[in-house]
Amino acid sequence: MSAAHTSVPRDGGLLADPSATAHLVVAEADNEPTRRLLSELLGAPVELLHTEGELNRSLATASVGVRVYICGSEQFVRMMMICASRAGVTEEEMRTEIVGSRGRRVMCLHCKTITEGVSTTIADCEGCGAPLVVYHHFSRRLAAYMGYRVDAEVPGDRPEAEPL
Amino acid sequence: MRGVSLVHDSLAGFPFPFDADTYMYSTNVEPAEAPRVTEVGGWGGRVYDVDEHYESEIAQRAQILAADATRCQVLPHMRQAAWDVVEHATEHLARDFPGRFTLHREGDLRHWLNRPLNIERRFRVGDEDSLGSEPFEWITRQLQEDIELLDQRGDKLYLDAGILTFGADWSLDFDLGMEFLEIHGPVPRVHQLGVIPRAHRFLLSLQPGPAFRRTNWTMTVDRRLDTGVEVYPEWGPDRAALRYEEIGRRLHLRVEVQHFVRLPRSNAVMFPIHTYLAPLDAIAAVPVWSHRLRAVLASLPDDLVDYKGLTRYRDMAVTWLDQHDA
Amino acid sequence: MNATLQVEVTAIDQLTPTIRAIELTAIGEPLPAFSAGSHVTVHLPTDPAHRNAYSLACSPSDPGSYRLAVRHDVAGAGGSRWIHEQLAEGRVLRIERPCNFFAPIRTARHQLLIAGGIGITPFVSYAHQLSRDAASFELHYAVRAADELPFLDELLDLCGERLHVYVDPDGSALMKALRDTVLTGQPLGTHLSVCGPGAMMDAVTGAAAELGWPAARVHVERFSLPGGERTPFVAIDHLSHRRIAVTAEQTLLEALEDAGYEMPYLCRQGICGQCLTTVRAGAPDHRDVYLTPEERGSGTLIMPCVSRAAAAPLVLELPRCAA
Repeated sequence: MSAAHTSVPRDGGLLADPSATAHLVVAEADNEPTRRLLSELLGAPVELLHTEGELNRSLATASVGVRVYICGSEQFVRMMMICASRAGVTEEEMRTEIVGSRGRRVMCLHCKTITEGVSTTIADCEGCGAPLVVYHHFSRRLAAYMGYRVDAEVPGDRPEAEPL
Repeated sequence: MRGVSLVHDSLAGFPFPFDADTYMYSTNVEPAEAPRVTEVGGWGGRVYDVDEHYESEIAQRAQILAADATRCQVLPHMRQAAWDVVEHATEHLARDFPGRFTLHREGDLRHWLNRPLNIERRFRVGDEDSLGSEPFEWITRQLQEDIELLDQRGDKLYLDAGILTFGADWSLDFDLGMEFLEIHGPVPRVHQLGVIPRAHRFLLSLQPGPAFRRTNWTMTVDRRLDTGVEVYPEWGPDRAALRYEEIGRRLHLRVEVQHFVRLPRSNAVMFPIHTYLAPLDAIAAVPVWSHRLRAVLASLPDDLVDYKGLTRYRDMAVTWLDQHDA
Repeated sequence: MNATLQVEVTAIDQLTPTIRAIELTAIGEPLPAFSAGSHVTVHLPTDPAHRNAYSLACSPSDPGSYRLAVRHDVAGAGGSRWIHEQLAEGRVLRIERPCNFFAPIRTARHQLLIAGGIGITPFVSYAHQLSRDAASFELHYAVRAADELPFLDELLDLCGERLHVYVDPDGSALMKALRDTVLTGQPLGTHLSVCGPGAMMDAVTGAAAELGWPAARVHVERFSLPGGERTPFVAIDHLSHRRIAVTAEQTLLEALEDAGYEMPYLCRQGICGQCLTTVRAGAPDHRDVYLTPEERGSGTLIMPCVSRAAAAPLVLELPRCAA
């Protein structure tokens, strides 16, 4: 699969964008990439935020020209991405970096429950209990990876799960 | 040698997709509404097809929607596109099947008659109240085609509305809102071959007026149209359970005729997708088809065999076609 | 494949000293519906190979007629001169179906539209559609002189306070307003669309980029593709060795059509890929947006609707020739 066309998010790191007219930095906790970024952002105004509520409030009055930088666990980054894109921030206006837990959000396509913190190739759905394949297909609208029954063709035939 | 007289009636309009003994993905796009002659009949004269399965497939669609409303979705900015589909489909059906459908137009007003489904409706284009329901679902409940609608924003296309009750192993609910290139991310080979990027550039430049089409194919056990990911546990076991003696009756060649239409008022791109199924028994009755399908299956690279879900029975199907090759 | 439409010129209106509006009414079949930002290609009877593209400057909802606005371009290839000096009411013309390479962004929270001079034409249909849809927008309209303001009354009716007019001989007033206020402080989810002379579009998109607007929010009318000088050259049919001369006024596609080749085509803008032709020898001067950089680099493909050759002849694989 070509990386250029995958739906799987590419977290390119917290690179400062000098063309921005304002910077919103969203950090789950104090971490090294955020500290480095804050030291590099000169000139335009910078806001440091930590929660979805704070991000929503800032985005409500933000203007085109703003850049949003998000750093934290996979779970945190994906939830903040949804929040930013609902407010009208485009992909080009976001920079992301994962630090800490890489556990994924996985949507079971059979019962539509989202299971959080999945770190293995196969995981049980928290809704219907089905053993799910964590497929390399990601929806930004749902902020989740696709999951479907691994034993759909031969019920009970469940391969060993491996770390993602 | 089996004669053409044994061919099931429904095969006359079957869009047999292979022109050669090998298959590889390509941007196999051609102008639509140009009839194709096949060994046993022909297909391709129309964008929307109404065949002998019309009533039963419409009933299946209604059942699927009743069980899972996420199979039909329209994001709010696609309202104009939904009305474009109503206009495009009613005009084409009335023109192409005048015995079954009638459309009277006067300014914005429409009087629509769908005789097979016993639907009569007077409505005003753009006025949902006059139609009594959401326009996209209203019209697609009268079509055999799945319809996907892509909104163009700059040089990107987004799947922002659609109905998918007869899909081949993908999910509208999951892919809704996704960009065209990302939707095809998991398909092997197509990006390296340049097929998807070229298709993307083609769609971006598609203009109102003449429609285009292509075919795609896979195989399905039984005459089952809904092989959506949501219901994989319902149809998946048939892949593993299929026995050699059942192949002729149960294993079907599944062909999608996909059309590409630029809608005039919304500028959205519409894909009507009509799925046709033919059992190998019927394919085997047409020696050219049987031979060609055998050759294609035998030479299909493993990654495509896997992606199309043929892994469990590809070899069995090749052997069966060998045995039944006239 | 490109069914053309027969239309009658039912009104000509001199909007300004240099701009004429032309109303086109269907003969027979009703005119196709279109989306805001669409243009039509007009076949000019002066020369069978000569076609000009004009934005549809009218309401997109159920058009009984189309309206185009044409600026008198004394230095141009002659199409606009013919329209200004020869065309009269009652004349029948052939046009192609509307095409759109400049559609509004339907998901935009707010649309910022910027027009320079005759670049106002696509925004006339925008103003009709966006005001009918109750969409949020504003239109900034800059002209060189106060007597060069076509459609002013109609736009005022449609836009009210959302219309901002700049009588701006050197373009400085518009650019100052953009930098000081218009491009700063737009709410997230705003999209910018600009149409006008090339230098003006470059200035606006440049200012937007400096003020942090990402490319995905900025849209320009691709109407006239970036092109260099047009010089005559020669194409050679690799099978028959026939030489086809391409004049400076013609495209390669037009020259091949005139020579009797049945060339497939669709957009005639270097966008759709229909007229893709294989090059056997020679160096193509690519001016399309269809070919990938790799395909361009290979030197074996050309889009004859817009691309040319610099000096040496192009040897091409061509379809059947009727002549």
